[in-house]
Amino acid sequence: MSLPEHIGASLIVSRRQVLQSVALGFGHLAFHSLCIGETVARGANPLAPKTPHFPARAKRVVFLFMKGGPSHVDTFDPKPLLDRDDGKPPPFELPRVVFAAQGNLLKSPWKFRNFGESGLPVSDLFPHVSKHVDKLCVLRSLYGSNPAHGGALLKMHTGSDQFVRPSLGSWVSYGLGTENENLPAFVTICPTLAHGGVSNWGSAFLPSAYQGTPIGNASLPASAARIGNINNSRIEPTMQMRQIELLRQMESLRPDQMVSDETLEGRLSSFELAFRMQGTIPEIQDLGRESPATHRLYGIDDPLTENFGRQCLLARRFLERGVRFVQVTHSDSEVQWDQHSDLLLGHTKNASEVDKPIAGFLSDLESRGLLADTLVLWGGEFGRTPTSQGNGRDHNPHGFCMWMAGGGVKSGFAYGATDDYGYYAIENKMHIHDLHATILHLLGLDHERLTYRYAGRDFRLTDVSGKVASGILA
Amino acid sequence: MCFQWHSRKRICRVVFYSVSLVLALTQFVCVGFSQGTSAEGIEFFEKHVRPLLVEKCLECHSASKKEGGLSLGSRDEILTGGDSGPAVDLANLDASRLLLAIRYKNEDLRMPPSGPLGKEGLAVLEKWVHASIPDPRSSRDVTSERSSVSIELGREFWSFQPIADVAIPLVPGEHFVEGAIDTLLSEQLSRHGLEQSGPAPRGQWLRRVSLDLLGIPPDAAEIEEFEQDTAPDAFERVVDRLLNSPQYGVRWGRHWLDVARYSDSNGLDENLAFGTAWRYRDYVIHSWNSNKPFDQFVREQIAGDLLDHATPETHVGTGFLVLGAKVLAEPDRDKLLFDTIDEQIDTVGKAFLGLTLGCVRCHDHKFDPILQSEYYSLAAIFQSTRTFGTSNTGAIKHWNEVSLAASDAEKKQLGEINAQLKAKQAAYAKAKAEAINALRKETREKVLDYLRVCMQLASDCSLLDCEPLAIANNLHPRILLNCRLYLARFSDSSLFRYWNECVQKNDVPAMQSYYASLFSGDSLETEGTTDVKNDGNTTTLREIAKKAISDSTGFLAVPAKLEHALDVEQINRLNTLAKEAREFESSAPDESSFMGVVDGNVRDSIPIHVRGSHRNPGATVKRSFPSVLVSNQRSPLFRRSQSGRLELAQWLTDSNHPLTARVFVNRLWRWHFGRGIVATPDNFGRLGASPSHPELLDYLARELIESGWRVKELQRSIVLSSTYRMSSAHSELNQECQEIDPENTLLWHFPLQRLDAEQVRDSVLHVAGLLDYQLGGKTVPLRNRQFVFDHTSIDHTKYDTARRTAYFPIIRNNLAPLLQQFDYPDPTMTTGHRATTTVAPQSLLLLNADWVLDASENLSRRVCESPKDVTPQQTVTDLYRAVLGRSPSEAEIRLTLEWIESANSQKEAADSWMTLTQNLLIGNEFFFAR
Repeated sequence: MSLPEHIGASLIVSRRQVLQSVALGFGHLAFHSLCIGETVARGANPLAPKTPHFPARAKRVVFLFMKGGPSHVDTFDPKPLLDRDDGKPPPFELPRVVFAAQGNLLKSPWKFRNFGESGLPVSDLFPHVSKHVDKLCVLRSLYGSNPAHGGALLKMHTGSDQFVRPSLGSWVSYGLGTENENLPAFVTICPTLAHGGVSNWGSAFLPSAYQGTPIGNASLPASAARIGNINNSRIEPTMQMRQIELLRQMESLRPDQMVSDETLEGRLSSFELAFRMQGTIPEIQDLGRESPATHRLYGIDDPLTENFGRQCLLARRFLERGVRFVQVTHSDSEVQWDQHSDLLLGHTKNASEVDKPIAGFLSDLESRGLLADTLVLWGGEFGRTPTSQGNGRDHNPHGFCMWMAGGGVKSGFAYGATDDYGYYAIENKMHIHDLHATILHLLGLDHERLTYRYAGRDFRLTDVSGKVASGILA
Repeated sequence: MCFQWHSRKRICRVVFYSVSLVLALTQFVCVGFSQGTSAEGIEFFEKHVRPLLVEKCLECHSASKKEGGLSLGSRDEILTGGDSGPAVDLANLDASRLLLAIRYKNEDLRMPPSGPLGKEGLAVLEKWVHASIPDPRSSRDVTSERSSVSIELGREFWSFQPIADVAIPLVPGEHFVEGAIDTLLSEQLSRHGLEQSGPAPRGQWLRRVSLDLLGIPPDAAEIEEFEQDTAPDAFERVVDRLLNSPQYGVRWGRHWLDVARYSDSNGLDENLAFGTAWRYRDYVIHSWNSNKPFDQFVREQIAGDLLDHATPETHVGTGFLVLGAKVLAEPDRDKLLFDTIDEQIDTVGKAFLGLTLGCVRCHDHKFDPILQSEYYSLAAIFQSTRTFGTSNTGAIKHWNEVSLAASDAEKKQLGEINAQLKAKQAAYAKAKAEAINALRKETREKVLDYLRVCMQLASDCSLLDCEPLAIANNLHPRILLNCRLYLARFSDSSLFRYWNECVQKNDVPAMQSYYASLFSGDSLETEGTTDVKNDGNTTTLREIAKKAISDSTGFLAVPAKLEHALDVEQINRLNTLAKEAREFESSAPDESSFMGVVDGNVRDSIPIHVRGSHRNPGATVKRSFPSVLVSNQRSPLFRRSQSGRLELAQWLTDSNHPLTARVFVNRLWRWHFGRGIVATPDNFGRLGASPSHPELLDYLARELIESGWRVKELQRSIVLSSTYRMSSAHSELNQECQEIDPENTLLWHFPLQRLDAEQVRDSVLHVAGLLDYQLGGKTVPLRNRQFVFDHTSIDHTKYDTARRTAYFPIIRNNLAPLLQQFDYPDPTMTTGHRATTTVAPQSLLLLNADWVLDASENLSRRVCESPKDVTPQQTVTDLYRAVLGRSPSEAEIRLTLEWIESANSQKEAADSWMTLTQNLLIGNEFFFAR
């Protein structure tokens, strides 16, 4: 089975591509035209749902991104030898290139305990998530290459820290399209504008229909996050509906008819879709439609967890309406997961802001039957060193952890390992390309076949690498 | 399954047949085995080595896959090795790359990638290698299949052929065909049975050519005047007027800025402002306006500092080489250097040669006749060039800037400004520290209150639980929460063990008296209590308490986030100070300088990087140019004292060069017609498109060179050609043509083109009377090297300017919404062809963005505010003329007036004219050049 023909499209503008580039908005259009009663000619839609290469285990993805680099040895990867040798010089070689000078070994200030039937260890940082440990598939052997935030973010999101490349969510949208006609395939909630910014959700050379749609950014509270230009500040919606109706009538009267071109019709249709989106998206963003119990479940009633709780609940509302890829970013405007110093304070703050919302999100997905075919991914752009920088830790791309849940991965399971101190991944090592290959695989996509021809080359998310971590498949 | 079966069978057969070979081999290989017999070595291989190879190595390193060029499928292949050399070195077994890799000590060479083999596996392979790898597998006939393309064959490809001297055939009896361009096109048309569309109405051509050459439409009066101008040179005069307008350079310079991946910020990992990039932008716009010969334009951008008559102005051209996005915080400086060189080679390749040279960093080009060694010959030129400066912002490196010899007065003034900025930043830092310290002090004074109130809170309480208690006791809710969680987490610490006991007994007074004395330090009760640290030293509890109470991350820690720590008033005060410092910085003048390269340490030769890794140097190559493009086989002479950029610039603009002129005239054609003669303007290689009109391409290239590389002259003949003057309409009359060439590849009608991002905004503002036509100057509202975005993600970029869109700040990683939505290219890559997409966010923008609404309001007010005796019919007519340059039909007047009269409310009635105006501005007629 192969992808539809246009997936190997080239840069040459053919008539067919002109048709395809008429992305009648975010999605496949089957709208009822506004009071006009005309049917609309329509070209192939780049966001129409597509059949994957092979049966998928997950239909959609949500990436809970912890910006700054949460420490693996303080969260999901306990290291007894680090406790034992606290304060001693590291008994291993440091990498050739380090981000900054590093001190001696620093033990974790948190205790690890075993939870659930699986008995997987989680630190005291996550008292709520730890209750869901039997849903988690902890990946303990991630590694990348770039030890700086910008490079690492780009690598994590696009597979390249050297060039601007389409992001993971864009590739997924390109490969699978969207299940909702009126929504984008890929939304990112309160993303950071630093360290790669838009490139982390951009479509690069893929058609722009596949770019992520940002809702707010990390400097805004989730309650104020909006899609750009979603409201008209001057005229009433009823007036705007009349305006669009008039626009279509004016077009039909144009003297000197222009070439009948699908692009012209596509533009008219996209005004109508835009108008409908103005109604749909605020409805999704209206969390007042959820019960107080749900608000409590996500911690929205508590100022500590309100913001991330809103983001997670919003994610669920998008996911259940067919959005293919949702990213939720935790990136405080001041204190991110980047504790070069004050590890105790900073990680406590960040963990306590996300812990309850994530736990509530997992419960909610499960109780709605969404968890089975939704892949949840948690993690940062890298981990942190087991060695110290004052009372904090430096960046560590050589070994770190993330976790997955749902979406066809093993649960209550830990995969791979870092060394005895947690500096390097050593067992079942999983490069970021491998992570990407695995995510695509779970979605039914073969990372070697999901290609796009650009500037004379077939590009893919995993460049020339990537290996599916089959050991985690349920 | 099938495959596995085959390979197993093959291996068996191989084992069988190769026994004799092995016998011969093992006579000298089996040193590691006690008895030195062949059988023993083979047995060891079969028993230990083969399973290991199958399990861990062959998936990637077999004859079929050959990662890194290496197969471990036979002894010969192992000895031949991969891209980096032999895997096993018989002369120095212990230093064999195979062993280095599996020992996992060398960061750049670690195998297998999934993790080290483990002790046993390592021992097996060590032993095997030290025995000189006894291996019964056949040395398959591994022909060195060269994946690259032969240079000689490569020369045959059309784009590497010399530019042809095209004879212009005479086409008799064609009244509409005028020049050579038309002749060459119409010849193709008639060959395919196509008929050229008739000429467009004069007004339509005027709108087309004005949008094309200036980026803004003509007004109704201009159209009428031209329609009535029957002089034979009417068209010529229009074109000359447009080409001489300074707005021409704004439009056409902007096209080149797409090629130059122009930007006002670095993007990628650390988004620092390119606060002086605007000088390059202005240089480009000026170059187009002054009709600078294109060869000179190329030479300045590559070597503007090395030319015979170099000036700062020509040197600014080299900003072209510096504008790329760089991983500025890359800690591996050598990698950063080579990534930057790669970006420069890739950009030069695409921009001038239409070649994807970036592909050749790691291996010979898979499709075009370019060798990896030739890439490094070019890299030597750029390695001899300095692109980075010597300064930095923390871990972030700065690009090179060339100072414009500031006067002493200017230096003094800059010094003062920098001091003022520092003072403003310090004022913020001081105020922040004071506020936090005051809060810390207050918290320490209330330590007993915190400890007491914490006794009323559960160990897993939430902020919601803390708030009422905190308010009742005049404490800080978040500090209280952190304190409670800390006490829970460290309940068995020597300091807080007693607090927990008190909680169990619910004994507040005991708790208070114990900790009162401990923290105030005037009781002896607790003397002698010690804590043994890891290092064996003991500390008294009093010392621990003293440390704990002032530990900024301890049980009395104040929130790390200001907003959580301080009250609204304090935050506002701090924000004001921060804003003052930021705004002062944003508007502070930069040192007069421009982005540009200079020569560095000249290297005549450098090693190639095997598989593209700077950690893996290979054979050394000298500076030179790709041989497929060098007509005589001798390598060019490079000055020893210079980087070689001058030679590169001269070579690119040699009249014999087959690509530079072709690639450029094709770009021009693309920008005029919306599609290139070669539809892939940045790729003239085998994977690019073939030219639809090869003779026309060569004719134009030759014309360009013969005219002394004059651009405006060539454009003049293009826009005056009958091809360019054709109508875009193709109604029923052309049904047959439509069937023969539905994509209009052969140009039988003028292609309809949607306005691009800049044309959209400039045209809307222009007809609304709001556009500012001023040229040049700095427009990015940031100081040079200031962060566009830091970790706060706050967007300070403003696009509230009335200037032409070419002067918008181009912020990588966060383009202006207009540019993002209307197919502006990614400003990190050379782009010769912008896509045209239609997506709903464009419509959201056109319906709701403030600038569109402002323009609509402004224009409708202006038109409606005409004298009182004007009829509504006249107002509609005025609006149509103002926006579309034509009068409305009767039907249009009727429709719009009926609509205006049918408003459902006073508010709707009040908004009607503005909304009608907006419809004219966002409708298809306005939005297309046709």
